[in-house]
Amino acid sequence: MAVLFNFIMILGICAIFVFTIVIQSRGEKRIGVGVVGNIENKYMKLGVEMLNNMDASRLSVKFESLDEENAKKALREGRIAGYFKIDKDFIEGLENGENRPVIYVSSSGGLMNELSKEVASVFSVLIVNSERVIYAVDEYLSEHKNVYDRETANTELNMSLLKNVFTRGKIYNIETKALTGEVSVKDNYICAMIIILTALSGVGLGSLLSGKKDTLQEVLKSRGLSYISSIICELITVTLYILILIIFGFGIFLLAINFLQDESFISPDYFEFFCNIFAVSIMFASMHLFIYELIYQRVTAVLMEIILGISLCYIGGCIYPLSFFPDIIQKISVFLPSTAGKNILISGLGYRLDLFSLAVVFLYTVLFMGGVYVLRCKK
Amino acid sequence: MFYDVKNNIHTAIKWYITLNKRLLRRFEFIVMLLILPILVLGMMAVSSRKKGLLDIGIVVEKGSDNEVKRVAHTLMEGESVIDFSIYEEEELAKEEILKGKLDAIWVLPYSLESIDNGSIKIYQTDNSTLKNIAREKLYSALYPYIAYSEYIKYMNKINVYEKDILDKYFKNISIDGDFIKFEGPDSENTYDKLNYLTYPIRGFMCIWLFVGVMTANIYFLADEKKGLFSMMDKQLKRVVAPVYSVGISVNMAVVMLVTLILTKQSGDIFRELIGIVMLLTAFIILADILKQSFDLHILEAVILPSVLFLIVFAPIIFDIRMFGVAYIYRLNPIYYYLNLINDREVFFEFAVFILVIFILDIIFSKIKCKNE
Repeated sequence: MAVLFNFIMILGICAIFVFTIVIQSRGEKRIGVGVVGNIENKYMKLGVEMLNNMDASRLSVKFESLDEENAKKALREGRIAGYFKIDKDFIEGLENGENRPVIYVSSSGGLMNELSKEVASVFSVLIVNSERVIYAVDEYLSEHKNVYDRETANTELNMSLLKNVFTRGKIYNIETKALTGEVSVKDNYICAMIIILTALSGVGLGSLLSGKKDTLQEVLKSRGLSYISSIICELITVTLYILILIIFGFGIFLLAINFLQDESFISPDYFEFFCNIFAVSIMFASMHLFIYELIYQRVTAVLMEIILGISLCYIGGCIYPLSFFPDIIQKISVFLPSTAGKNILISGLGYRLDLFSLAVVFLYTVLFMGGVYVLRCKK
Repeated sequence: MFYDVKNNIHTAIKWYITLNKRLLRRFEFIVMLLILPILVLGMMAVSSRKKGLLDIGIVVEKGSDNEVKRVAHTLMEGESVIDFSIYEEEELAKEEILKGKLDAIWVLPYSLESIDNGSIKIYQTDNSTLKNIAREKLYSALYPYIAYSEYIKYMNKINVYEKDILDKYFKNISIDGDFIKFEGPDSENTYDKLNYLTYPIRGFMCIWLFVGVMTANIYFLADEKKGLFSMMDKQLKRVVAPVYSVGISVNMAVVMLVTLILTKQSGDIFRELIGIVMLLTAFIILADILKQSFDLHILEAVILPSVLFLIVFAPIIFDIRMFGVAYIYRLNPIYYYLNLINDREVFFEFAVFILVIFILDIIFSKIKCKNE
């Protein structure tokens, strides 16, 4: 009953995700960035309109002109990723050679924030260097009045610089060539999600595995069931629990996406993929058995499961790709059960079999099971 | 009545001490509490050696202008989420791509004097948003020279050719300082101290706290099943029951707060205290609602999907609202907590959320009492 309830709840969460992703991919959705300031100024208006209609970023970013109250509200509701706060005397300040900083307001941290800051600093360089050129021309023409009309020169130079910025993609000659055997982002994340489910599944096993079982063990032993047999039975139970979670919960999620998107989201060799899932499930099942055997107290065991589960998934490259981590973490992670498990699953999606990861998975299974046996005999 | 309240407080304190003795007597509980700050400290230490999101090789061939070399060094030495390395030969850099050590290579021209269509050759294994952003970074490094080149071209167009004089006017304009400043809704963004590797840690600690609150309730139900409270009257049991969830969670919340302070992730201490108290209150009430709705085994089974819900619908790793999801994230206390740290106006929304779930809890308990 508990497993069924668990499965239904996970299915519900997956369903919300599926429908959202499908709706999202069918509609136009761009990241919103607000602009708070004196939008009536001709440069600002021109700038924002050009950004929305001409720049390459128009496909992914939508600039919205807002007042500060609405911008804060939109930021809180997630309608915009952040907003630029431009001083009301910004343009006049520029004309006088004063730098009035533009403030970029965002409410969160993390990857998106770092990327948006990266883009914002690019914006800053473009503006500062354009200013320099425009002032230089303006200074020259103000001291040499007969050469050319200042206003006209200002407008023409602005347009020229803007044209250069908006056609910046043309300076690149890009050649894209995929490496053979390179794992796609989609396949990587499918396997990562399976590992996350498997690693965190131990959190719900408290009533099955924790607590004092010495009397039961003694009774079973007296009836001829050795410790090894009882351990194997528990392993089979926990493995089945994990398999039900993955295959039915996650499997239905994938089938639903395949169905709703009218295309194949994933096309593995199902038998090989299932065998790899089975191997990984046994490894994590043995890990959960080991933790509950090592830690008698239920509260401590469950909390240790969540700490270990999240840490292994995070450092194992199941949340961010491993390439985002420092070299030392990348070197350590190849020995972790989560990374090895993920690599085994990936090979089931038609990629090269990673023998080292297979050996790591096998070794962890043996070590955990050996540990459970030793601890049980000791008790 | 005053005597009853005093008695109840006394009973609650006694049970809290006894419960702590029971837990802290076990070495593994202390180890588990200490593991969290150690893991977080380790992560903070390692992330200081953070690696970029992309590895880009810049090819500056022999005989290139000094300006080209300056652009390459500007990119290498600047602060960025992208790692750059410089190569003198294109073939060498291409080999690194094949080995998987580089994500893309940029072959710069010999001179920046007239950057034309297709001047910069780029080789990459695939295209992505990160690589688009990396190219914007390259453009920003080239732009000072492009802008200068446009300046000279324009002045030549209006028949001004004296380069020395033009250079003099150009160098006279000094525009320095930061043009962009980064802030949060309340001026300072607490999360600015963190990078993309350490930002999710606070959210993960909230998950750990939630599991602790749920497990505390399961602990109580397990003790109740064993008959620990069979001789206790209902009134007293109503005092003892919350001691389990509050007692264990307060211990964990203290560890979480100390970890945040030790690792310098915390902002304004007053706001941190308010945030954690509100988060804990929300978790305790939610756990109580679940405890009243389900029996011990189902409650345990509910932990995993609840953890998944909390991770997915809070801005721990990514913001689900980017995918157009509306409203559902408002059922997640972690969403309010993470935003409260940076934006004091979320306090009222969080308070309303807690009030609503508190009312729901009262309704559930009245229904349960009636059925009993």
